Amino acid sequence: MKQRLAVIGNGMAGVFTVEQILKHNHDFEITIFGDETHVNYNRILLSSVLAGEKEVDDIVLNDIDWYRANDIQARLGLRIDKIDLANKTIHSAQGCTTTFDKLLIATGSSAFRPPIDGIDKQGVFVFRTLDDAKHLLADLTDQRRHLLSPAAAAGPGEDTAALPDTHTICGCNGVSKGAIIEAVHTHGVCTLAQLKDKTRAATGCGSCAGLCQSLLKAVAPDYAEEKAKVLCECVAFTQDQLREIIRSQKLKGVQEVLDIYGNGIGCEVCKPALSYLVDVVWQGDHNEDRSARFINDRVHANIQKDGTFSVIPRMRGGVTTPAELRKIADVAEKYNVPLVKVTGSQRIDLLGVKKQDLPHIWEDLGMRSGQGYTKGVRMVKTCVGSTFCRFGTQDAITTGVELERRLEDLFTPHKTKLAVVGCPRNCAEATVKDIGLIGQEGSWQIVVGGAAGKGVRKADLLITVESTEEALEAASLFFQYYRENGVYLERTYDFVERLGMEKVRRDTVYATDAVKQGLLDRLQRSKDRASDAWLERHNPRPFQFAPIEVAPNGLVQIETEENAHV
Amino acid sequence: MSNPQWVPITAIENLPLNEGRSLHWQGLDIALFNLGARVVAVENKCPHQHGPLVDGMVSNVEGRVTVTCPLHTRRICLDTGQIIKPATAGPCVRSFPAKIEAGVVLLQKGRSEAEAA
Repeated sequence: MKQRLAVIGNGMAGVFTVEQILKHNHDFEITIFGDETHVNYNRILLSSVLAGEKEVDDIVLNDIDWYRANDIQARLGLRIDKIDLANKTIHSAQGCTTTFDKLLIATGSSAFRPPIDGIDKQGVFVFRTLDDAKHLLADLTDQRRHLLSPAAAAGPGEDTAALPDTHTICGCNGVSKGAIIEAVHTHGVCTLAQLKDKTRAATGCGSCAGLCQSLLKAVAPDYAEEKAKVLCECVAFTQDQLREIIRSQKLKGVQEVLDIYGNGIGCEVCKPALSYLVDVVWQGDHNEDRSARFINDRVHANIQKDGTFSVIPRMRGGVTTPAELRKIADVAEKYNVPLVKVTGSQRIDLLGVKKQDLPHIWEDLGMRSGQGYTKGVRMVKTCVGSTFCRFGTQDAITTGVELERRLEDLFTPHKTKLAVVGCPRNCAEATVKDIGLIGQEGSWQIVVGGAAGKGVRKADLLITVESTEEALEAASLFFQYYRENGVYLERTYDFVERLGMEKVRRDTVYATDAVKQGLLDRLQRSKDRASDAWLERHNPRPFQFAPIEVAPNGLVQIETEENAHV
Repeated sequence: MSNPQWVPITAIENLPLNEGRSLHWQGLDIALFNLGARVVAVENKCPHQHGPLVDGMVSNVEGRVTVTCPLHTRRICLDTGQIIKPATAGPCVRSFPAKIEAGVVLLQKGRSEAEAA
């Protein structure tokens, strides 16, 4: 039996030792534990990353393929906090236990914080790991002002105490220091999230978040630091970390992420989220794993309370034809569809469909999937606009149909609903959609983050532009930005509040040409790889739709494309 | 019952890893799951509101392999048939003896695990 070698420390020393072992005829089953989430990188070159001379990927010494090629189990993001020599086990802070025969400790050093007053304050950094470099870089972009005045950066806590109550803390929303203190005392506010909710402070550009944080720290008796929310127990990282892990470690499938960074199995919470992340990070060039998708995304239909499904064909802009309506009517009769309903999204829903009928219905309809079952692009509602309406100032229908055509078939962090209206009367309710285009004489307003669901939220203005093409581009920029930065299951209305509209504008429509082009290029790459999900009827997975037929006389056959039972 | 008869059902290739597939078996609707090293067969009916377990996702709850009902996320242990999250003392899902032999999934005729117990 192979000897189990556990290595604590995934840095240059630990990995170098393993490399030396690999050169010899060894008989080890090797597992390397690292408390950083990155594979082995060159720590000496970290300052080049900080200086912007190198990207993170440039300083990687052993990429994930090296671990794979050498049969080494990488267990990253795990901090070992106990060694049990009697039982030969090591234990991680996250609660996982590993048995070893030989143990190598190569943890290196950690940064020393000299005993200086205020050393634990915001704006004071140590610099030893890749994450330290990233935090420093993030601070440089967000809080340039703080770095220019080192005294303020070192002691913001003291600063807030000296301010008068009338002093405005949040300039975007006009929230004073007094208003924040009042929120603490009357509403028991003790986290930044609660403060944002109660006062709207720090929800605009977000630049006062640090100030709010220190004010809370000073006045709220139950002040609680916000803990970054991990995706779930199966894979205990934040979605931002997972995005970075998937990108830098070149992980293209959900199972790989779960094997290296999680418990190897996953659950119904993390698997759909990881499915989304690998799709968006690799712009559709990922390994699709249907076992990691909710049933709706396996059969491209929405499961109902009795186990039947609903079928909503795409009807771009809510525009249809007599021939299309006839086809829908024929299908509804042929398959005894129990309920036909016009939806709130200007489309037609066939409800109560049996799973085994789905591919046949798609074939008979000959229409595209309307994605009415997934976290993706639902529809673009339109009003009649200048086509017939005597008040219409812009061509809402053509624009809406084109917008839907450009964005359809793509996944988003949560469902995305859009609308285009031809005048400010707003007949297709663009002001309460995730993305809305509002036509007016000679221009378009692009609004984002609207909602008319559990809560009602008026969408925020992203930009006003003159031409229809500019309007479509602005919508596309925001759309891709949301795809890349939204947390899975975060609607646009929470997304824009979390980031603040100033930041959203700065990172999309007011970004540099290169940044804008990058967003549009990545959107295009995803789009090139996306297709109508209902085309799967031509190449169904084995027994995805119909029950297994028990092999007659014990004759067992493997399902192939040619003989598939759909 | 002596001399249990094992009936070949389908090639293991027809059951994608960690997914369920349904089948009519002895008058019941059954959900078969391919868990890699083994297959399990349970009645395709969540004890909560009769959701189709075959459409659930295979998950892990505190080290136990479960399927999550697609309707209201009840998590059912695939070994005991018990709803383990949220913990209830309600009825179990019936399970049936199943095995893989030479790449073929087999079910045993005439019994469910519940009857055998």
